[in-house]
Amino acid sequence: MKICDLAGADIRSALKSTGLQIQIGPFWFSIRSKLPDVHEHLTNLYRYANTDSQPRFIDFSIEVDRKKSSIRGWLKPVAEFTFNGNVPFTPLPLDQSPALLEWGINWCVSAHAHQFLILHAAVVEKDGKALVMPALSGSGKSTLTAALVSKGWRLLSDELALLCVDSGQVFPFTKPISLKNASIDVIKDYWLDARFGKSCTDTVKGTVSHLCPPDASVVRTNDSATVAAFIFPKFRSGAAPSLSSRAKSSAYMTIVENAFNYYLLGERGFECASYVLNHSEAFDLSFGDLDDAIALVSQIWGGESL
Amino acid sequence: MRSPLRLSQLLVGQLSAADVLPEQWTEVVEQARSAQVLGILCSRLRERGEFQLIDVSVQKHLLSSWRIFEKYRRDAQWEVEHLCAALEKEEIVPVLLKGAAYVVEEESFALGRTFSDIDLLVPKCDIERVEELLKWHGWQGTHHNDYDQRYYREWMHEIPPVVHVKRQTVLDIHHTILPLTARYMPRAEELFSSARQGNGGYRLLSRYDQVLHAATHLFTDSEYNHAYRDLVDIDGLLRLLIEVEDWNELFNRAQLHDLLEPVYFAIYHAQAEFLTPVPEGVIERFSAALSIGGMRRRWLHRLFTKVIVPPHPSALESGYALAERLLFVRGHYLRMPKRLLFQHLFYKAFLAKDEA
Repeated sequence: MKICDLAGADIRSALKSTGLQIQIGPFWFSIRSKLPDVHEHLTNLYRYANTDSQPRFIDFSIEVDRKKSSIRGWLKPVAEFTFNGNVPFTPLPLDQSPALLEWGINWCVSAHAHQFLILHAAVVEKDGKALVMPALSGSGKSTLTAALVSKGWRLLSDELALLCVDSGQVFPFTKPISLKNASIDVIKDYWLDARFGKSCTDTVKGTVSHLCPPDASVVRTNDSATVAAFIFPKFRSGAAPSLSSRAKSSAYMTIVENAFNYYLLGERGFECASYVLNHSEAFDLSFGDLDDAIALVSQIWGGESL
Repeated sequence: MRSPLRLSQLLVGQLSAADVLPEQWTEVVEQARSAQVLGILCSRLRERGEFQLIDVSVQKHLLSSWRIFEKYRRDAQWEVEHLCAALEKEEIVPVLLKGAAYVVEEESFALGRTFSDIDLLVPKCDIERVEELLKWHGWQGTHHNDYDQRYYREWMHEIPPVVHVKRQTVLDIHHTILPLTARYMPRAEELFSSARQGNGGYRLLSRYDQVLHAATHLFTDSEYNHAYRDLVDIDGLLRLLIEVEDWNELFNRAQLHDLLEPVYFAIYHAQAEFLTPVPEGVIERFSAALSIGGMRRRWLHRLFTKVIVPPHPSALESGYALAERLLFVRGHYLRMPKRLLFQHLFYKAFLAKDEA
């Protein structure tokens, strides 16, 4: 069953009582919340995610709710994220609860799922070959991901690349794409059919708006993919488009810098990163225009090297 | 008294993994994670050959926490090896305590256990030299204000924790196992003279003193967020005492160190939650030697039963907060004489600036 098969009232009552059970990538979450923004966010942006009301094993039970019992809470209400009886982050203003939910879900996975080497990276796939783009915030990674996805690439994740330590396969973690500040309007102009959630303003990252992933990507949540290439994107306004091959040694170091749990995994992390990189190509991509960037990526995707 | 948790039964093999339903595993994993014993659960289920009977998605969480344990073990082994080598040059041989001791020694009951600090015991007369030496190796002191310095150095059983500037590892350096101001007066020199050489070549407390230390830590403390894991340790340590003579020796050591009461509580609660095998007559012998009355004892049992649980909402019963508060007061009362305690709490409440 999909979220869109449920009546709004059923979603609300699940969120308010035992929790809404929802599959995101290889994990089942149970989400509890009394906040209307969270309800709306899940209904609009997780339409094709699997849901289930039968008792089952839940990987992560989480809660996003108004923080209780503080004087400040009456004057300026805040939402807090709870996992396992703990509140791992500072509460945020109530209207940022969708962003808090998304960050919380990412945190659950990046802090606990050590069956994967986890990279801070976007992952898209076409023709059975996955493209992984590790990069820091501000590199244009999410914007480029949204643009690729608008052209029919499958979205696996815009934030976390889950590389299976045993097989080297990358697993989907398909969630709404989080766009920030100027890139929100860029994508609204670029992709006219894009569905956006409510914007959260004044977050630590500025304005954040979430973009609904294509239904076709979400329904393939159980299909892992083989990594064909790493691309390190760099957006610079007005930059001429260029794509150049990156030495494996240097690519390796950038991958390690963008990994959440490389040191924790020790030798296994080393083996996994080397295996995946040895079976793929690595490129630097600098771009000032989305169409140029997509043309360059499509070129290598159609070429013989991959 | 409530019956043991499903998690506890799984930890000690009273319940087989095959008899736990997938949806019941949600709570088991969550409780185990909150109590930091998920890695231990993983190792015990594998050792009993029950791992393969579990749903694959549950296995992933167990294995993931085993990876975390492997990182702790790797780091602790490396850190301890270099520390001991550095101290050895000055002819100081530290005794390893608690988590780091169990893990570096590869005690089977503690496989999968994680811990935040490395605890060492050194003779009080060597403390200054140890601090000086550690400074040269990149370890920096914390709690720099005068009050905290005095609190640790005059009243406590350890100096302020030292942190490595690059690796951020935290070392707790103790010279005995209870505050100098505490009601009970363990004899520090005895701890050193009966310390043993572990298989890994490091100095460890004797088996009996390890029980004493774990028991003292849990049953005179004022914070209970690690209580459940501490009781898992105690159960593991007590299961190593096989012969009746071992239990007699435990009694003698507890008496010598003036720690009969915490050890009595340790045995009682380990048996209640983990069905630790205890020879007949042992509890009665400890019980008879205690000076506290039956009424107070029953009350303390009820309070401890409430707080020795994984710190997860599903395990906290009503009355938890009150029990925790009362034991907090008891913990402080046991640590300091009344006058000093009032001074200390007054300082912390009104005079101390917020410091890291």
